[in-house]
Amino acid sequence: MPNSIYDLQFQQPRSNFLGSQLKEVIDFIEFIDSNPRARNIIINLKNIQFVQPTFILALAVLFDMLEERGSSLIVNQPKDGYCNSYLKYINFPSGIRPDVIKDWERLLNKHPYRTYLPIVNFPTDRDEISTNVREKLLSQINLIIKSRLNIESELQNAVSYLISEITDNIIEHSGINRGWLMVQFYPTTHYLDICLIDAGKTILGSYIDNGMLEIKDDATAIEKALIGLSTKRDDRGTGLRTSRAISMDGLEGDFILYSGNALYFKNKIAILQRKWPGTLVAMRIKSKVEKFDIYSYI
Amino acid sequence: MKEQRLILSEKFNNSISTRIAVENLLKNIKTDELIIDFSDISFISSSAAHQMVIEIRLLEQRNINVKCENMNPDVSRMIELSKTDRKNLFTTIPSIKHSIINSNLDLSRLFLEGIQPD
Repeated sequence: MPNSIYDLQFQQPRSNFLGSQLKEVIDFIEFIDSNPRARNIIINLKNIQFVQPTFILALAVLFDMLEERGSSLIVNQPKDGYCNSYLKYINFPSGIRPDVIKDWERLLNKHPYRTYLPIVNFPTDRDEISTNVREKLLSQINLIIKSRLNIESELQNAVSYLISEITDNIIEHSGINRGWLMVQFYPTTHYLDICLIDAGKTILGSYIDNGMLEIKDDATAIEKALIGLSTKRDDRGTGLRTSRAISMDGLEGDFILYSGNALYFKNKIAILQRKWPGTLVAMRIKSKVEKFDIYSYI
Repeated sequence: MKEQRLILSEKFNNSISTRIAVENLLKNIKTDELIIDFSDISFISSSAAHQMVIEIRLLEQRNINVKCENMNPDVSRMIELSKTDRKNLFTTIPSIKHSIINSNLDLSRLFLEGIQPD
């Protein structure tokens, strides 16, 4: 019913595991698939007490996608005061758009003692203006990581590496003009979450558009991407392969890749009933690891 | 002989992150000798380093002599790695198991694994 108002009550993810963050997101995708003509939607977060990047960034991307399709969405803020403030600080749902907001650098640096980067919604166009904005943004993010997170230089390099490689993948392969990023550091337990998402053509779509028609499904596509098969059939294609290795093997963390209906997690590829409309990469890494040498993984 | 000096920090602040940035930077170079000055560049991504190697090869094919100067050790190492075969044995993925998730219960089981940050 297009004129009905849909009140979607989101529940607190059942645990803080990285995968748990996706369960509520997948339920939301199920709603979108089942109600393609829904126009008035309330994103009801009143029961949410704590959010992590994978959950809240995926929600922001779906929010934006539905608005683009002409739906009208309202956020019902969390009852929990801390969570309510956090969502404001991270600029949920629109994020900071460095090509649109003139004082984006001030906004990014607004809370120098906080342990997160707000949601950043960056342009992926290949023209010089967008490229310059994006490079400036990534430089600024590297400086913030350096100054705010108090981690060793080898780990700073690893974080910069993970962000830049996945950003590059979005630019080169997503076929869409926006990418999304969020980072959260957990200083007491020394973990760091990095999440990058696009609502583009998926990894499978990118292989197909580059003439690799022998790859026929999302599961094969993400497996090929994780092995390092380049769409250009050359020695590119290292971004996802090395990012997985750095996150899981080097920094003893987790790595999620969700593209179309295939999801890589814990070295398994699961074929889900619901498709992510693009590609989602979520990484949870340890920020204190002995004897970590990034160059062993590149 | 015409010489051009490209000071990267004037364009990039402290880091170079994406392929397209390198491609845009070097695609319209018209000189006999190009000096790329890496002073104050503390980070280059693997993709950007790989693109730098590709673009320098293309410039050299056009008979442009290219010199790189003032690279810090991290940047230099990334550029050198980009010149080699990029299929690093240590990042080979172990064999992946495939499964089909048909129910919410299967989905919950899949997601209830992993590391909790707090």
